[in-house]
Amino acid sequence: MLDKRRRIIITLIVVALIGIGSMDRFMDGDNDGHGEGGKFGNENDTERESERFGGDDKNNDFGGGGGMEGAKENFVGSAVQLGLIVVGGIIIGALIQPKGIEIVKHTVMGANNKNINNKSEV
Amino acid sequence: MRDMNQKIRWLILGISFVLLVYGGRFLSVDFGNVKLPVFACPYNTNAVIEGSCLYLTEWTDYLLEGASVKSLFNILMIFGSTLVAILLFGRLWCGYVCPFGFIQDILYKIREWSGLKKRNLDQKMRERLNFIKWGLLIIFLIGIGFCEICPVRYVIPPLNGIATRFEFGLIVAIIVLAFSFNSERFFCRICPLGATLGLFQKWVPFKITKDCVACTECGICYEACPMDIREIYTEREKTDVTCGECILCNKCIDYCPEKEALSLTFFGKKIYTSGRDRFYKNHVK
Amino acid sequence: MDLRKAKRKARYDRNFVRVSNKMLELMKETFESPKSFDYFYDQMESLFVNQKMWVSEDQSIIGTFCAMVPEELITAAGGVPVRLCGGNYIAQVAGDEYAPRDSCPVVKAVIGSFDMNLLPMYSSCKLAIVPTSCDGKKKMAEVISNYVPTLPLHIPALKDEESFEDVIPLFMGLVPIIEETTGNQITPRRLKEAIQINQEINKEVHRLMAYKKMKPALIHGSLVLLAMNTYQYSDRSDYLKALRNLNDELELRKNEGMSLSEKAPRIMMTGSPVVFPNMKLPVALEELGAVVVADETCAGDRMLTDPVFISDGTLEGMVRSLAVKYVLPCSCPTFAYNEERIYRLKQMVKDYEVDGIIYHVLRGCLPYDFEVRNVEKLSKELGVPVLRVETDYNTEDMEQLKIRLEAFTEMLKMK
Repeated sequence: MLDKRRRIIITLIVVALIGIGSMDRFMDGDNDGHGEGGKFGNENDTERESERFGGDDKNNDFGGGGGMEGAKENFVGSAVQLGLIVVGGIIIGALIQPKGIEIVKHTVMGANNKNINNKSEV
Repeated sequence: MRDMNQKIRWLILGISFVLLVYGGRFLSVDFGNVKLPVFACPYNTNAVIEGSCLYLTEWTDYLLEGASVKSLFNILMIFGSTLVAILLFGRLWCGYVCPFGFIQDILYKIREWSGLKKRNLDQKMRERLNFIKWGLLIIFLIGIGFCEICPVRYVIPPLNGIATRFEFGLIVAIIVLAFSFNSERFFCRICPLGATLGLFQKWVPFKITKDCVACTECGICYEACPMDIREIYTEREKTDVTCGECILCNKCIDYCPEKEALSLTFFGKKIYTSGRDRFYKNHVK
Repeated sequence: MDLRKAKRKARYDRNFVRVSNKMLELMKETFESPKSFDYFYDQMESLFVNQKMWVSEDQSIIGTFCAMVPEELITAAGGVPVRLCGGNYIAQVAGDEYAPRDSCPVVKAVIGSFDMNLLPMYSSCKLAIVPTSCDGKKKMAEVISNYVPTLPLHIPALKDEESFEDVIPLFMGLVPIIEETTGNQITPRRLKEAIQINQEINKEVHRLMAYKKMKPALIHGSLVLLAMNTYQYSDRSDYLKALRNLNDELELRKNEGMSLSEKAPRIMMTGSPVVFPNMKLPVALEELGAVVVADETCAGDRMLTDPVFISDGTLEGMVRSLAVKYVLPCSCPTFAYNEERIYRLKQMVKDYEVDGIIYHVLRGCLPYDFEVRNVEKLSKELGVPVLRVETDYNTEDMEQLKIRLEAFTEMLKMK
């Protein structure tokens, strides 16, 4: 599979991203979608629950979907997320690219026999 | 026409991708509480019809809500429609409709065109991935927030311009899509929604059956299978070879060269079967 | 070569040509063949009787054995793969002094052909790839390494997942050696072309087999067997064209309603390989009025009927597909577990509507002899009679053989 060096690199990347992610969770709080937290949308759990069964029937997002109104249309944010996926995907994809399989080195018997062509021998 | 079944499959996948992801932008139809058992992420609020994934994982929230008639009716519609859809088509939803599956297929096709090597996953890897799958299924069904680690949430809503909050799922998305580039439909091997669908496989009318005498154990079905189901080619006794992991993409039937060795049956009737002529049509000029 | 050996060689050469010619003449007399079949007669005559190669001297000839060597790799490198399994009685006699008395005649014929240079390709062959399928082949590889550089290819005896994954590095290891021998590189595009032309030949062979499946059959099994044998000794594109012409002519015959006798019993021949000119068994059967409609021998239909499925267009991916084709469906009894041969025979009995099975065992061929029990069990289960016939390459037992075969075919005719 993946050799040790690559495994270490991937683990470090994953840990770093989780680290950034968890720190963001604390920092963001009730995000308002402006400024620095701009790329992270407005969805969060409290918003979702409050609107759960309260909305009117015309709203087709009933149940858990009711709070999806909070997930705003945010083209910059989505572009950034997709961009992160593409870049990160390419990096990790390059790391996990399957290496060539091992090749057996065949022994050829009689290869050193000078008088191979028996037109001349025997 | 060459590869007709796969072309039809791509067509259906493409249409459902457009409808499920972008449909809300140009259609004003309202499907109410009918949900489909595919990964059409409900965080994509501008959608025609949503996937049942979020509702299945968040079902505990409904219990806490109390039991008014309206909410009971809604619960019935949501879960009932999901159940009916599962029992009618089983994992055909996975193979022919799921938009995340479509994205994975596209990535794999890009790899094919670029001439890079594919990663063959052996049976040991398949067992390990199954283990991860059952773990994810438990997290999914107990409902402790699968949406936070769900990769689809960072792919499908952003494709429709909707961004959600940064969670661990973004990292999962990066890893899963990188693997999907090398191994076909990588996420489907650990997909908890697929695992749920697989649990109902016994009752689904669509099945893959095998004529064990006609089979020459040529192994082509195993080479073609995206889910690495080896039993398709080694089975010598049973007729029904559909297993819970099979996404019913029907590639094994497309490429099996023996006459009527593998067939897709609906309530026991063969609706699509393998044959040497089709093999030659697909592979030989 | 010293004078005595040269004299012996002259004698062997004469008799070799005589035996090959006799078989060709016998076949031409006994069977009425379509006009387009003449290509196959001509190719075999040109090589076995006139000792003329079908390729020029400067092309690299690489010898193969059995049906387990990926010859598409050789074709992709511009080489010429030739299956060197011998079928001539004189070659067997020539090889007698180098092989044990009990070893199989194919092995003896190969050694004899190399020692006495009975066909031009044995001396101009640059490399021989020998799958270590049966014991005879393993030791034969050691003997012929005195005449030609030999590469033993260790195909595992089991087909489970771990063993199969070992085959792919083996096949990949053939690539540098073939490239070095032929002097050309194997690129993915060339390999794809080589696989493609073999697939087209595969398709035409299936068409030809369909004419045998018909009731009554449209062509004699011995003729088809000769056509299959010719594959090894002709250029691929010419062979493909000849097959197409033969199939087209048979299609015309089908439309005109010309076919063989309806009362002829339909026989399936299975067991040790039947290599030209050792065609006495199917020819004798068909002289007696039966038709050999199904053929599960490795030098006959089975050599050209397994398809290749390419799932990955890189060089490694295609080598993997070749490994899948050459190893997994191979029903050679040298694999320790060969139940799939019984299933294949069962399906063939159904597809070809077979009346009787002839199980051909070459004297000394232990793997095939071991499986007689399985086929006898199958025959009881299906209600199709089976006859075990043990013979080797000499024609002295023809009369006794004919008596037994006649009794068998009479019994089938009366059913």
